Amino acid sequence: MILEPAAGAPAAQDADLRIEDDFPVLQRQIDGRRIVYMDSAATTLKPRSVIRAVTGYYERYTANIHRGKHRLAEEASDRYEEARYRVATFLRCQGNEVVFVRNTTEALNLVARGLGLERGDTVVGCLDAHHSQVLPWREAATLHTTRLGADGGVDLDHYRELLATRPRVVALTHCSNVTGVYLPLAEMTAMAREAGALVVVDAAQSLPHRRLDMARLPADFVAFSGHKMLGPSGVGVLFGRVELLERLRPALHGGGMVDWVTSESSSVRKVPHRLEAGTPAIEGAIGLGAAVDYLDDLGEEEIDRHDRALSALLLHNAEQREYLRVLGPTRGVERAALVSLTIPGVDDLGDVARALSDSYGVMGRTGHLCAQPYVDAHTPGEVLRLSAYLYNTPCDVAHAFAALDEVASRLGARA
Amino acid sequence: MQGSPAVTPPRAFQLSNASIDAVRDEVEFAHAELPFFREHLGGAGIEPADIRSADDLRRIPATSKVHYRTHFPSGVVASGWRVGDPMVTRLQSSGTEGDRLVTLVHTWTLAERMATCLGVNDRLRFLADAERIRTARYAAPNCSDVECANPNSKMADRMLEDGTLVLPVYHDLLVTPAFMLDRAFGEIREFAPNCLYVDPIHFSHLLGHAERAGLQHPSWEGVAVLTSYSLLTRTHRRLIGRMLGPDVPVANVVAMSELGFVAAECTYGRLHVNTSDFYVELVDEAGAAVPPGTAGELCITTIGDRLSPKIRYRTGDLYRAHEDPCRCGSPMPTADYLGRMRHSFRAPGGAWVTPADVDAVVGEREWLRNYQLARGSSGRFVFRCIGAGEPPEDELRDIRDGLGHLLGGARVRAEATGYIPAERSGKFLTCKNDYPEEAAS
Repeated sequence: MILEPAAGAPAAQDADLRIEDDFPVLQRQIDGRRIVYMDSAATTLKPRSVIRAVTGYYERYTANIHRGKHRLAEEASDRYEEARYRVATFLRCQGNEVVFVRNTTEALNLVARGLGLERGDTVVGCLDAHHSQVLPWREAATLHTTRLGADGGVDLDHYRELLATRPRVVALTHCSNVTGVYLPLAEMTAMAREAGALVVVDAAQSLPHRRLDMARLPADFVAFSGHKMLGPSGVGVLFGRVELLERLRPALHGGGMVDWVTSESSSVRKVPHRLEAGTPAIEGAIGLGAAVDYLDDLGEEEIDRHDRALSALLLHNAEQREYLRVLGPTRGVERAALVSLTIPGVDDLGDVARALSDSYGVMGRTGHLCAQPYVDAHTPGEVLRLSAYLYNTPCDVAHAFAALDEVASRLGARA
Repeated sequence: MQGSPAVTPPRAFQLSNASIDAVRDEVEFAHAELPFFREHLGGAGIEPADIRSADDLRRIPATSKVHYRTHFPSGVVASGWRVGDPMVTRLQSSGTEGDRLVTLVHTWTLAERMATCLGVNDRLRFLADAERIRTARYAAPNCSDVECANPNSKMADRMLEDGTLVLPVYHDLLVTPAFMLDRAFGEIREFAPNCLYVDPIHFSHLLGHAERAGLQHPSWEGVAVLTSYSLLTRTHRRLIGRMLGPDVPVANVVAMSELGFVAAECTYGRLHVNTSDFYVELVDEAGAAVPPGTAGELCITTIGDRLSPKIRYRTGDLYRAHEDPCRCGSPMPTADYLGRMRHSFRAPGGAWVTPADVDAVVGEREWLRNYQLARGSSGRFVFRCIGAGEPPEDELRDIRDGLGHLLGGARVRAEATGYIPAERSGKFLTCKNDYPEEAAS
């Protein structure tokens, strides 16, 4: 149960949180043009509080953690572990269920390798998943992919059929980084649990926009990256139920993950430390803690409203233009604030992206977006993705599409 | 101290009844034996002989942890004493905000302070008469979780030189593995202490686990529970009392790592401040005495400490003094312990809103197990609570609105949750202030 403050919050415009000033990159101009950053699905910009947290570690208390007795070591250890607690509070899980890793990819590999799967074990995945939620499972077991239905959304009948084969793991991608479509996560997780499978969620694209409540969602593992949610690069999180983390085989052995070592044996530390061998990205974790604070201060309802408003605006603008094709379903699904586009008649979307950047200051992304099987199956070979985040405004969206109109017409768009 | 004229503090402050002669002796000793105090008093242009009244004493600039930390050991430990001496106790304060401290105290001095405090409570007298106080401690780990909260440690690893058994403890209370809770409870049974010296929040958690797991203790008869380390909230007093029954004496004491016993609760539930072993002041931030009924910081001058005395030491703890005498008859004055300054908030206008004030608003709720009011770095307040089941919405709303009112109209979000992290030190805070403008205070 959550009771918001009694007094009404000052109503922010749903699609404009008025926080651009918090982001130094947005104060920069390139060739005299302001930056319209629309590549947040790749990585987000960083607010000053995160930058300060990271530089604070380097400027004020650089030290390694967990071992020393001197003041700096104690301070660094405290800040690092506090960051873990902040993440845990954000996820509404326990502190010892948060493992700091490098990124989502490492987290998913840690689970895929650590569960002790064998070739004969089956894993059920998603067609539009990121490579990082596909390749580790292919390496560790046999992966079966859930088809998409006629509407472009996940085919739940096929999913049910695959679950009937009693897979050991179901690997879900909460939000596709290509289509921006959210899976019905609660429903699919419940189905997988009923089938006796462990549920591993790639939340890299979703968590920055929609908070997950691990006290209610019965997923077993959730992976996400700091850099996609305002935090530094080089730090990510694996959430795991504590009893499962205790069963997970560590990927790395060495310092920091053992309690006691003799000439012949060793005993591992309790979780989560046993899964964090070696010196971690201390400043990264501390910066991630600051990012979580920033998101927490904005409030999940504000963030969710903004995500929905910009999602609708992006889709509306794309659908209004006959020369554009939107990848993935546009009706009957929940979508994040991103659109992946193709432009019939334009073979090289790289040229479009360069022109958007250099002539209009619009930073988008082109390519397979690390989901090549899906992109190859549904496009001529690559897409142009525009992805928004908290600092983007309706004005940014209008500017990006107006720029696209001018660029596309000169580069061969039909219609 | 008998025969000496009592210090007569201003009308605004009537807490201490220690003698001015004893205070001056302490200052003279510190000045003569300890380089730090020679420098400290010299810097203020004060000679020990100048100290003839409370006003004179207040001319000495207050000291704090940083002075004792940065001058340890040579500047603040009298020559001839060192760690390892048979009668020297080494005390370590973890210091959650980098304010750590190592202190040396004569074992007898500590014992005297303890005896003074326990003497105010008739139900604890049996401890003084006991052949030996067998203490088992259950509180946040005092050192890094790498060693002290090592789940593989054995009883012998955690036995202190004075015979106190430190029970196994996890650095994040609410996720303590069940096997560690089982072990802690089992060790209480095996060690059979007559004194459980506990953090009330930790101990409530342990007892709650024991109840759920069906763990039995043969008998609590002959055991006293002293709660310290954290504010004893209504919630935790109720939980401990419910699980141990009315025959087990449970008394709140205030003890500090660097000073030992500072105050203890009498059988009437009032907290008596140890004015036999300390000269105490309640002061505001400027160092001026505060009137009874107003929150002030406890400032302590030790009496008769010939190893490492403390002069006008600001403890960082907030108290509110009472004027009326206690029915128990103890000559030691009473005050409410309100919590740590750095865990308190400021209402508009600057008045303290302390953990005790917050607890009064939260009140007694049958469903409540733990709570925390946190002020984040942006200044936003969030009240999180853990209950036995979902809390009644009207009660949660009452708490939210009450806290908002207490904080001068601040907006407070309230949420029920299943987990609230402990501090890095292992302490579980009922109030946590990360707002930079206040956290520094």
